[in-house]
Amino acid sequence: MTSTPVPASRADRFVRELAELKIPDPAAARAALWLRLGGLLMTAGLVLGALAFPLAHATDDSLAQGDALSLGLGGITAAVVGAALFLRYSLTGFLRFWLARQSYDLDRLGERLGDSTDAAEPANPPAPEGEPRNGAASSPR
Amino acid sequence: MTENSGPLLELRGVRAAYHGITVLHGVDLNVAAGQVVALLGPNGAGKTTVLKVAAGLHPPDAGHLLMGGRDVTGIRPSRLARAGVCLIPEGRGVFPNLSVRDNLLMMTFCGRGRGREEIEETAYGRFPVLAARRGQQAGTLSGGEQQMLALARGLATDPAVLLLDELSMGLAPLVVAELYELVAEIARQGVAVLVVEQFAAAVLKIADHAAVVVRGRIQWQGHPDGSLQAELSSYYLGSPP
Repeated sequence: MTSTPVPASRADRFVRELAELKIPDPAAARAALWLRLGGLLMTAGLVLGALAFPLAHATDDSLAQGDALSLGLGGITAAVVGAALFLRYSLTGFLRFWLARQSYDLDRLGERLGDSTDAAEPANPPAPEGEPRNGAASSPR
Repeated sequence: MTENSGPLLELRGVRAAYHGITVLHGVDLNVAAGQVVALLGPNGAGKTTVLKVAAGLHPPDAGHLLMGGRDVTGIRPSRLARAGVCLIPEGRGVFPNLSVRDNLLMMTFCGRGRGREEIEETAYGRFPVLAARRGQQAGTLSGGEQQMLALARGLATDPAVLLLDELSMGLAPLVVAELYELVAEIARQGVAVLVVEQFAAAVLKIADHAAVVVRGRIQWQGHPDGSLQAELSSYYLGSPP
């Protein structure tokens, strides 16, 4: 059997090196890919849609016009799908930022309220018996 | 133990598949610094796949690979190797047409910043037989010497986690015993060692912990004692006790 009392410097160095490693989050990479794909589809769809119009007008052949129509409809579909993808993933990023900001603001507000309560307490010591609270002088009759 | 005293290598609920066929069904295994863990099991049980997952060569379909408490699932194997994970594969993986010295010097390219002299000094200090054969082609060495060369090359990377696949394959029992003594010595220096082995007797002499994997599942794990060796044949024959 190996005895387990260990000079662990190598292991500690290993743990430290691993802690310093930057490990990319695969989910984040996927979101960026979808965002890019959405943008690309949206742009390509708009271009195809716009291209279909002059193509259809340049000919009297109803078959060629049908092709142009299909191209235009395909372009519009691609643009709609692309826009949906783009909105979905860009909104996620924005909402995540907004949520983080809200959380930070709420924390700050909580801290400020806590500070003001702490500061107010010593300024209002319990009033001696028979005297008005908050330092308000009793008005002469 | 490390400062954080957790295991250096940890597999949590690892599932892995080749071309849609699942070979590991939720494997949990820990290896601490200075510990030798023997992973035993019959042919085709998924032992080598466990090693591949641990080395980052095969990404798990589910579950997590943790090193030093950090989740490193899906990280590139080259980055793990640079951090200090070393896999010595089945069949040794030496370059047969290169000399012993050139095989060792290949490790200067591993990115851990060790010089030629340091690598040779460490290797020949630990394996004097290699010093005598430094100019000889690695393919002409005996099986045991080739395995020593593979170990020396692995140790040249200054590993923190050493993964050994079928160290005893094709070697005489005396040579196997000698190699496992070396492995025990390496572990005593604080290296976490995971050994995959089909022939259990030699590795169980030095192992602090053993696990038996059958058809992709850990069937038993714990401190190896005499009873495990007696029961192993039942696991291998598919009728666990």
